[in-house]
Amino acid sequence: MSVGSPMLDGAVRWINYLVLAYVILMEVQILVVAAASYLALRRDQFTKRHGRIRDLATSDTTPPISIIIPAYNEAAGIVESVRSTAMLHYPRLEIIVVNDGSNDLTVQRLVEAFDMVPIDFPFRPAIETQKIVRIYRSRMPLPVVLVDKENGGKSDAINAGVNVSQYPYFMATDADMIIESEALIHAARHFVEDRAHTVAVGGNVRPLNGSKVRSGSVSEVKLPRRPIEMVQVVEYIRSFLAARPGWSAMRSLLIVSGAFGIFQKLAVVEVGGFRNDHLGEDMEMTMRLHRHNLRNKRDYRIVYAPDAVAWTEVPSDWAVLRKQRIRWHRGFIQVIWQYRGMIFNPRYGRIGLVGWPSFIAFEFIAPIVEFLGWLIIPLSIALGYVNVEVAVPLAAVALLLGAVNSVVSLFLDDRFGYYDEAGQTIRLLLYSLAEHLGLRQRSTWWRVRSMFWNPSRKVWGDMQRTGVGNLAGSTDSAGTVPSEV
Amino acid sequence: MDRPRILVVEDERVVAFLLTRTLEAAGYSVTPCADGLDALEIGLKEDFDLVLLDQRMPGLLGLEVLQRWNAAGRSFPVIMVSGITGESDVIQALELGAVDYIRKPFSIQEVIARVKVRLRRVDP
Repeated sequence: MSVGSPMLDGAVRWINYLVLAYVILMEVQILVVAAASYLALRRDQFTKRHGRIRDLATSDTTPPISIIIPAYNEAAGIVESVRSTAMLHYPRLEIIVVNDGSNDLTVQRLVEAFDMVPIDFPFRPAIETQKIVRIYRSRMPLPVVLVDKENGGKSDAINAGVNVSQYPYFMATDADMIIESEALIHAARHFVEDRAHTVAVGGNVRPLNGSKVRSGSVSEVKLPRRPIEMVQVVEYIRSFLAARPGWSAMRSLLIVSGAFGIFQKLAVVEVGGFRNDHLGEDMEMTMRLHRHNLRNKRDYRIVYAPDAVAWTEVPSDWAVLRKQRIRWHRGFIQVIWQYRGMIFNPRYGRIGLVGWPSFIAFEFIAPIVEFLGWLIIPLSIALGYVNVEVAVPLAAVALLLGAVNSVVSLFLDDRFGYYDEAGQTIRLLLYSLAEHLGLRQRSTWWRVRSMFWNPSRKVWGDMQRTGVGNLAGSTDSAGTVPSEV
Repeated sequence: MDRPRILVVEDERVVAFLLTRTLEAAGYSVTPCADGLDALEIGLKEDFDLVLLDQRMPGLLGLEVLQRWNAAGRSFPVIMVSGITGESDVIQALELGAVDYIRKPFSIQEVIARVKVRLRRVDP
């Protein structure tokens, strides 16, 4: 049956095929990156087998790290998170809590718990920030510093922490993040191996939901109960195990998660610190480091450390998840807009020609195509525009590849041994297949919805007033984690 | 020879944890304790080669613990740790038999160094 002219018939038919081809192409790309991830993880495993990682924990040559915890109205949990950070296994650390003009008892709680006194602390204001009111230091044998500053948003707080920090490397994290005891050692390994070139190392962020926590550390890893949490576990596994190791191996890692990323301080200062007017400040920083170093023809590394694990609570209701995802995608759109000049620009080498365009093609354009697909294909089949004998096999291939990709990422995660029991493996498997029948469509819709918004509009006054904690609930700490990358 | 035994009396969990981890790595056997009354009791029952005693604690103050040990005829080499820097406290602690006194702020490294010095002297 056909309604219009033969030409229209043909056009509609081809749109259908193109949509399917696009999705297939995307799944193939994911599979290729997953293969690269597999090789990278295997190489990593091999290096680890020699057991030199632990030596780093006691070595004087392991680079000291400043851990910056921006805090806005975190009175309830800040003391515990400083405690658990101080207990991390690492030879030299300092913890800098930056109170971003909270109007609760964040400062008082810290002062009482850690016997903190105001000090006259010399520091270099390398990045411009809101005014620092006072700096405190603990009189206990704990390397804890508290920076009390006027409200300026999360990025501003991190920048102030960078200014005050003493060490050449820093990590900015969230108060509600649980970092595994040896995570920093695993991450620092990359700075030790290639100190001259490594400017940032990203860690592996995993959903905490369902696991048991005792005095600030994960005592038992378990899968969450609720389906909404399970699909996110699957999603995080895919992003952090099937995608990032591969991109990192191809030297095209485009996101170092804000919640667990270690940066070389000089490199960040050189590009001007974190931007305050950004929803995806972690990805923006990573892209800025790429652009700056590529422009200046420097040899540099931004790497991903799968063994450096941190746990975070992910949203457990749809409204919060939706809000979080829309925010991430808008942050992503901002980054695309800002770095559009790098697309297919040979000046930016592998990033400009491959990494960045394919990221945009499969993270930004793909949701649009997929969304159109869900609308057009069933309709076209119903109206008889499309040759079922072609469309159905193509759709089947697309879905099958999607399922293969999900299973492949579970296989990659298996070597970490977090979810070892048979029951857990089966649940993961079921959910990774079920993800294609639910969350994927929802998140496609959210992404499409996020686009109805002008990225060049300045709407961040709001964000600065709400400060760190309240952007999308406290469950927002993983930073930008688009599902495939 | 057995590893020297150290009783660490410190109520801040993280400080106790860091002291324990570092002292154990240096080859000592550590018993951590977070409360003055518990410390008193442990000290009445068990012997230690050294005690690190915080002055400010829930239960009993460090000096009080020291007093009661003395009264019960228990004596250990004690290193007092305190934020209260008044001279009378220092003198009182030393008169009660403390062998050393660390004032806040101090570092874990300083504690380890003082512990090592002390235990070297005790060794024959």
